[in-house]
This record gives sequence, structure tokens and C-alpha cells, in this order.
Amino acid sequence: MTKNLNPRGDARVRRSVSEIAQNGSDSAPVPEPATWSAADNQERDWILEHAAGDRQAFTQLVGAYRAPVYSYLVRSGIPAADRDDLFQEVFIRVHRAAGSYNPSHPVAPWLFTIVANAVRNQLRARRVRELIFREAPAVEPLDCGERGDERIEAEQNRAWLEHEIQRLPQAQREALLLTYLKRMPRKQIAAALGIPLNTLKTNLRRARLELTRRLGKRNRPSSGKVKR
Amino acid sequence: MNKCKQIQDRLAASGPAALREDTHAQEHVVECEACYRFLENLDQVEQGLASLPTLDAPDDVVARLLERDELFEPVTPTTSARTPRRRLRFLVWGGGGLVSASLLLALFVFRPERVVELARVDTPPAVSSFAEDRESGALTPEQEAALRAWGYLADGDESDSESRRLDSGALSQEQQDQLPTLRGFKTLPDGPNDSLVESMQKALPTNDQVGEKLTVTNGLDKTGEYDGRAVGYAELKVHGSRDREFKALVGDVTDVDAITQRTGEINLNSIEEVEENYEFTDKFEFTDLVAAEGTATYFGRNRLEESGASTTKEKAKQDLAKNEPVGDDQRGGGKLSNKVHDNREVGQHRASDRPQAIAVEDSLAGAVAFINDRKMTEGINFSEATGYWSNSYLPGDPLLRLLHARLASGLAGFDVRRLHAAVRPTVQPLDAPQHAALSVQLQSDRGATEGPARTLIQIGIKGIEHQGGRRSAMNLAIVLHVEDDTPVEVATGMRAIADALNAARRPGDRFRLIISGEPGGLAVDADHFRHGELLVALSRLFDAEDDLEGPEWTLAEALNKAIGQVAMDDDPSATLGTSAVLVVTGRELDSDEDQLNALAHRSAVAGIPVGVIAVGEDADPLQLERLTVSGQGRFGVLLRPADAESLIDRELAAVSRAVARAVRLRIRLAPGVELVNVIGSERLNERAADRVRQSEQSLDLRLARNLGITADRGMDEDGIQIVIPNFYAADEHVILLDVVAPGAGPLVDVTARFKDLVYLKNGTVRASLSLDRGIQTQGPAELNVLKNYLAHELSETLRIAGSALKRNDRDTAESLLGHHERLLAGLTSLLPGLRNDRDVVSDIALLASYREALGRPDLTDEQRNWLADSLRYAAGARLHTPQAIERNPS
Repeated sequence: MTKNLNPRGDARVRRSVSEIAQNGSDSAPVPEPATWSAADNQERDWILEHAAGDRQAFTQLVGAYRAPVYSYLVRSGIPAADRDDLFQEVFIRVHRAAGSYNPSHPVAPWLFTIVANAVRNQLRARRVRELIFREAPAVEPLDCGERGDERIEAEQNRAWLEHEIQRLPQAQREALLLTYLKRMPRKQIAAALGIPLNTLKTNLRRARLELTRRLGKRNRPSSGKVKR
Repeated sequence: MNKCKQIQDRLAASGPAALREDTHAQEHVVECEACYRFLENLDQVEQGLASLPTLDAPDDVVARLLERDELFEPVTPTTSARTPRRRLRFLVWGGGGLVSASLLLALFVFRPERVVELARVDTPPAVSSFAEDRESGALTPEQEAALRAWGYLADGDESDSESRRLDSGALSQEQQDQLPTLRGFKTLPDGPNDSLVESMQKALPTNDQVGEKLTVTNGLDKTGEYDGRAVGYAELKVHGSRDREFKALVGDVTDVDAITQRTGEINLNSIEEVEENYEFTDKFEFTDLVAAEGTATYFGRNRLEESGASTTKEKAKQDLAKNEPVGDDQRGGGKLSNKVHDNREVGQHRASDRPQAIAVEDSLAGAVAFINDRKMTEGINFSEATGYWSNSYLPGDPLLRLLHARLASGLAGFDVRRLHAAVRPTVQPLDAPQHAALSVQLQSDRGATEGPARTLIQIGIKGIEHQGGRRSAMNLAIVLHVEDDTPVEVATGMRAIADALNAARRPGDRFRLIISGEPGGLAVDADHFRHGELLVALSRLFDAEDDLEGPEWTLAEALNKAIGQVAMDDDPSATLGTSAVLVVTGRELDSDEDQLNALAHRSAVAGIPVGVIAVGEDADPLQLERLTVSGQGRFGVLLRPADAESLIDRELAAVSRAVARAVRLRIRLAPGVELVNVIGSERLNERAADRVRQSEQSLDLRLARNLGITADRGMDEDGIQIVIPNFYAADEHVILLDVVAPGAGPLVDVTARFKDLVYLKNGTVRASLSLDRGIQTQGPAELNVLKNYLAHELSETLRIAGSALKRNDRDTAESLLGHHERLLAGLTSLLPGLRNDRDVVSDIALLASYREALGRPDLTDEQRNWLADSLRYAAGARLHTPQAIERNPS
């Protein structure tokens, strides 16, 4: 059965509730791992080796995190003009902070703390700029990398979702992005964002509620005049 | 929480899989269309999120990163320094707030061409930002000096002795005087004529006089000749529930016909109509303001008020003396000079031949005049410190809310945005009460005096932080004002409101739906107000292909029916406000507006307030404001159907937010203390005072019946009386009195009596204030009073500028803003306590930004109107507590 984000067609098939419930994606949190994974150990070693002067280790760390970090920046609404600089800035900060890394904790939440803070600072600066220089905030269209006529609708749906994610309040957006980007356990996400676990859950729930409501609104028929 | 909301919350928290094991919930979703749609949409969102692609950084960016020099620096190991780091971070952020606020000023001041980045974590933002600008040559030496003086350049940024000297804060007086210039403020040409027009505007009727029959006198009286120029008194007198008079001596009168006074009665239908069309210059021309009776002439903006304060600015005095106009004997027998009978067009102002009677010649002159004005104790017309005065506590001021909603929709293609969004009232240092619903605190702008002193008295009222709690069961009727051809946006909004009301329904609530139009009447009664019935009624209303048959109901009939329905179920023992009527409209009201207002007033007196929700922007805000005021209800605006739920939640919760009702302030000045004015308030005439008494007694009796709080109202008291109908949790409000004290000693005694809804009793708080004997001191608390006064002044300037701009009088608006900007800049130079004050700095920046926006040559009418709204909104938001707006974003 075709599922998409834009079910405007009138001939839409009504799926049963149990079908959706059984097949629908599960938003249950990623469980807190009892032990570290091999990837966790590897990342920790990279940081420690980099702190010890091994530049190759840092290159590997960048290789492992370049996509998640860049995705986070894009979907946080960092404009293209600032994005590349901020991307570099984040890893420079990671480099500078490597000495403070606590090897008893996994790398991902530590690194994403730096990313989230960098993005917050950047957005704060942008808000001030908007206020002072009257730069109109712009949500940029995203190139999702897929082409071809048969993909147009999928691309439209994805672009809509990307757009809506960027419009979410910052706290909700942060919670959502870290949940879906890196699939970290919620405790780690909360630690990365510096918020209590329950606050994170609330933000996540509100983000999903908001996106769902907006999708519902998008799917409603367009306006015209009604005659009594 | 109703079942739909519960299920949707669960789904949002855990995804569609939350229903896997819950057959009961599954059954509900199968039957409930809203929940099914929600589930389906959520599932699609979840799948969309899960399938979002990872976006990789470009290879060249990564390559450049790995070549960065910083990566070659050794990593500095950090040991267990967590505690110091946290402390440091706290210090950085704590100081960061101050630095950021100051930086806003600096950014406004210098407007560097390149965009600077703020608030870096690793380095102090101001230093790094401006250091970069300095390196790029963007800063002039003067700017650097000022930056250093203000602490934005660190010691290491410059090594020459000059900078070190400035770093120590040793700015000479001359340098300090230059600061306004350094800040880039341009000197605007003075526009006394504009000020005159603006001042006359202040004498025009106010919103609450709409609907009245007013006696208006205008014209030019008793002209004469002085120093070769024709002079005369321009007058405008408006008599109604609020008497307003304007009188000013003007020079270079050119139209002899203007001598004739004109008196007449007008029916005031709309305040905007007056503001836009009232031609008070049609009978005479004036080209210069020579002097004004009862004028405070600071910063070149002549406040012509009945208060009678006259100028003290030395230079202005001298200039006025030079132009000392005629006495009564001369005026009576004077003749117009022939030379003024030229071909000037009536209503035109000429700058070229203006005598500079009160010209402000330097940027500090206005501030000097202001300060001198605040010192003046003689030659002032005092007001009686008795009787009823208007209430200035307006949480959720209807007009402000509408402006906010209108501005929130933005203006496509207009890059001047959010100027008004940054406007906030000054934070008041008021302690929240602990054991009563309200506290009253007094403060003045001086702590001591050695003789007669002009003093500002501030009465601060603060509501307790927590509120009544869970809302009571509501008895509500909603009236949909529907006509033929209702736009689909309005129909959608009305549906959303009805749906939201249904969703917010709790056990014990009794809602009903009444419709005006054809067919009109009771569509859904209280026993059948639920999803299915509502859906059917609304579908029938909005989706029917053919015209439906049935009796036609006017809105007044529908409102009457609604009031009757609510009254039938009204429980006299229930909390006041739990029975109410909400009128939902998307268009202008019917022609029977008077009837509607009368109905609403009667309903309110009977304990059933009538509120209004405007859907979309087509409704007439002034009509709705009048209806809301008559009905003592609340005013909401719905621009997006998605906001309906929160709007309805707020409406229903409003009752429980009030912590005190029928707040009666009695302000008694000590013997010998004279009242100049109650800032932002006006003495009510007998008719208006009667309405206040009537409303207060209605509240008193109702609360006695409902909550057992003994009725204790009905008697007038001595002193100034102000009645505030409702005061909300955690809100604060400041009332300013301008007085002249004879010397050290008692100043004022204030008693607040109120119906305490938290502790369910008659509450009374009392405070008094006196001046010590000694030299005047001005600490932060005293400065705060002055800042509140300045905020009132700014608000007035913004409001008048907004009105001028609405009339397409850009010059007046720009001139007013410029004058005020210079006043504030001058005050920051003269008063050390204001120098780095974030509120004042923000106000200066705000004025500069508005002025810059107004100066754009390509400003379209639509943009001008938008800016006018923005100015008027900023005027309100500068004084009103932001919660009123933030809690009521629509």
C-alpha cells in the first residue's frame, strides 16, 4: 500500500486502524545499551588518540560524524552561507575540547552537545541580526539528492517535512533531530541537550503533535467561497 | 482531558504502535474521524522522519577543515576542573547578558556594513566582533574610543596610551557630550508646526467616546499683531464624557476667516474617522508655534495639555521672551498684518520662514529642558486629587491584541520586520505577595529633598504568582455571526472554534450554539452539544448547496437568545465569569450596534459577560472593542484555525487566572502635596464615574453571593479613586502620579481594597511614602520610576507618530520620533544612571530604526499602514505587561 505525506487524492484507500498500529513505525526509545558497542569504543579511541597527537584519528572521527553533523546543521535551519563555516567551527571546537572528553562516556552525546550549542549560538546571532538588520528569516529549499519523475512526489513530501522541521520551535527541533539522526538513547540525547529526560520526552511529543497537525492541515482541501 | 486528546497524546508520545495492544483505543479511533485522521497523519510523519536521508558535508569543506591550522595545535589536556569551569561559564553567561544588551546598542550605533556574529562561546562576543570590524577598517577612531569607553574593547586590543586612558573610563565631559554624535544620530530639522498638529491631535476624542454626541469648538481666537507678525490662539475644545482642550498661541496667522470660532455638535461614530478626517486646520493657517499655554517645551515637542505646565528651559524662555506675545488688551484690539495675507494655501506649513522660537539647537537641549521641567514647582496648574480616574490596567487590551494579530501575519516583501516585537515594558522590581492576592508598593523618583520638589510617585501593584487553579464548570453560549457568502476562511475559523470548544468540554460544562442570519436560532442546545450534533449543524450551515429556509435572525436577536439561554442555566452560586456569551464574527456588525451594546451591558451587569472573537481581519476592531467593553468580556482574534484550540483554552481559563476583582485604589496625597497629573489616566466625568460605580457594585454583590465575600462597596471615598475590575495572576501594573511636594515629610497614602479570589476574603493592603530631608539621591529604585515615566512618554510619542503615519503624515511621524530619540540620547549623556540602561538603549535603537524605516523613499501605502500599526502596537507594548500578549497571542 502506498503511503505518502500528501494523501490529497480522493481515491485514497482507508487503511484499518489495526493495520496502521501493527505496521506503523514504533517511536519507542532506543534502549540504553548495557555495554558499549564496538563503534562506541572505536570513537572513544579516536578521541583519545587525537588528544595524544594522532591527526589520523581525528580524520576518522570527522569521517564518522560529518554526515550526522551536517544533517543537523541543515535541518536546524542554518543558512547555506553559514553552514560550511559552522561545520568547520564545530569540529575545531571538538578538537579544542578533546582534552576535556571523559572516556567513561560515549562520544556521541558529548560531540552533539558541542554541535547543539554551536547551532544555538548561531541561531541566536541570526535572531539578533534579523532584529537589527531586518534580514528576513528564510527557510531554504533542500536538495534531497533524488531525481527522476517518479520521485517528484516523494521529493515534494520530503521537502515539505524538512521545511516543517525547520519551522518547529528550537527545543522541539533539537529533540526530534537527535532522535532520528543518530538514534541515540534518550538519556544520551537529554544529556547532549542539557535538559531533563522528561523535558526531552515532552518536546518530542509536542514536535510529533505539531507535525501531525500541520500535515492534517496540509491535506485539507484548498479554500474557496462557501455558499450558505 | 477528553478521550480524543488522551489518545492523540499517547500516539504522539509513542507512535502508532501505542495502539497495538489497546483494543479499546483502537475501537475509539475506528469510530472517531478526528482520531483516525490523526493516526494516519502521524504514521505518515513517522515514516517520513524515519526515511529522511542523511545529508553529507561537501568533500571540499571537509578537506578544508582537515587543513585548518587550528588542528595542528596540540590538544590541551583538561583535568578535573569541572567546578571552576561551571563557575566560569556562569560568570560568562551572567556577564554575557549585560554585554549582549549593550552590544545591541553598539550594533545599532555603528551599523557595520558586514554582519557580525554574536555570542560566541569561546570569546567575549563584543570584543571579537568589533575587533574584527576594527581590523577591517570599519570603525573610526572616535567609534573605537567610544567602544573602549563603554568597555567593548579589551585592554589588549590597543596598546597606545590614548586607548588605555579611555579604558579607565576617564571620558571628559566634552567626550561625553560627543557621545550622541558618535552614536550616529542625525540632527533633524525641528518641526514646531508638526508638533502643534500633533498636540492638537491629543485634544481629539478618545476611543471610549465613540458613540457620544460631542460639543466641539475650534478656530482661532483673539488675533493680534506682534513684532510685525499676526498671532492668535488656536483652539480646539471637545466636550463629552472626557473634556479635552487645546489652546496654543500661534504666529504668522494668514487666514482672516479663521478668527471666527466654530462651535457645533458631532456624533462620533468612529475614532479613526476623527483621526483621519477631522480637519482642525481647515479654518486657519499657522506657520509657527510661538508659545503655548500650559506647555512643557522639552525636546522641541510641545506638549500642550490642560495641566498647564509651562516651559522652564532657559533658552526657550529667552526666545519666548523675545516673542513675548500680546496681552489680552492687545489681542482684543489687534489687527492682522497685511503682510500675512499672502497666497499661502490653507493648511500648508512653511519651514522657511519659521521664527525659531523654541528651536532646539543641540542634541542635549531637549534633555536639559526635560530635566528642568521635572524640577519645576511653580507656575503649574494643579489638578484636584479627588474623584474617579480612569483605569490604565488593560490586560489583553483589545486594540493591542488585534494589532498584534494583524502584524503577526507580516507583510510580504517588506524587510522591516519585528521592530515592535522587541518592545517590552520595563521590568518592575515589585515583590510578589505571599499571603494576599495583591501587594502595593510605593516608590518615588527621589528619596529626599530640602525644599519644594517636583516628584513622581509610583504605585506598583503586583498579583500573586499562583492563580485560582482548575477552571470551574462553564455555562457558555457561542453566537456565530453568519451571513450569506461567508468566506471560506471565516467559515473554517468558526468551525475550528466550535470544534475547539467541543474538545475543551469537561464534565459540568454547558455549551450551546446560536446562529444569526437565515435561518438563524438555536442550532445546538446545551444537552446536545457534542461532536456529531455540531458536525451536522455546521455542515448544514456551511456546506449546504442550496439556500436554506427558515426565520432570519439578526445578530442582536441571536445575542439576546444566547443571553437568555445562559441566564436560564446560570447558577448564582457559581464563580463570577463562569457564565458567559461569546460572539464570533468575521465581518462588520449589523447596523443595530447600539442595541447590541445595550444588550451586552445589561448582560454584564447581570453577571454574564459578553466577549468577542474576531475571525480574520475583516471585522471592525473598534465595533468589537465597544461591544467587548460594554459586555465586560474578553476580546480574541483568530487568524489561523490552528490557533482555535489555544484561543478557546485561554478564554475558558481566563476566569481562573483572575486573583483579585473589584480592586479599588484610594490615593490620598498628604496635606500640601499638589497633584499635577496622573500619568496615563484621566479624571472621569460624572457619567463615566457612575458606570464605574455600577460595575463595581455588580461585582461586589455577585462575589458576595457566589463566594461569601462580604459586600462592602457603594460608598465613594476621599482622594483619587481608581477601580480595576480584574487583576490577573503574576501581573504587575504601575500608576504614576506627578506631584509637587512642599518639602520633606509625608507624600502619599495608598489603600487598595479588593476581592481576594485566592484567599476568598475582602483584601486590603496599604502603603505610604514620605520624603526624607536632605540632598536628593537617585539610586536604582528612583531611576526605575523615572524610566517608567520615560516609557509613558515614549509610548505617547509612538502612538501619535503611528496615528500621523496612518494619516500619511510621514514628516510629523519622523519628526516626533527624531525629537524623542534625541531626548533619550541626551538623557543618557546627562544622567549617568541611564547611560547603559538596556531599556533606554533599546528605546533609542527602536526610534532610530523606525525613523530609518519611515525615511525610505520607496515606502508603499501598504508598508506605511503596516508601520503605523507597528508603531501603535509598540506604543501599547511598551507599557502593558507582555503576558497579556504572550498568553493571548491571537
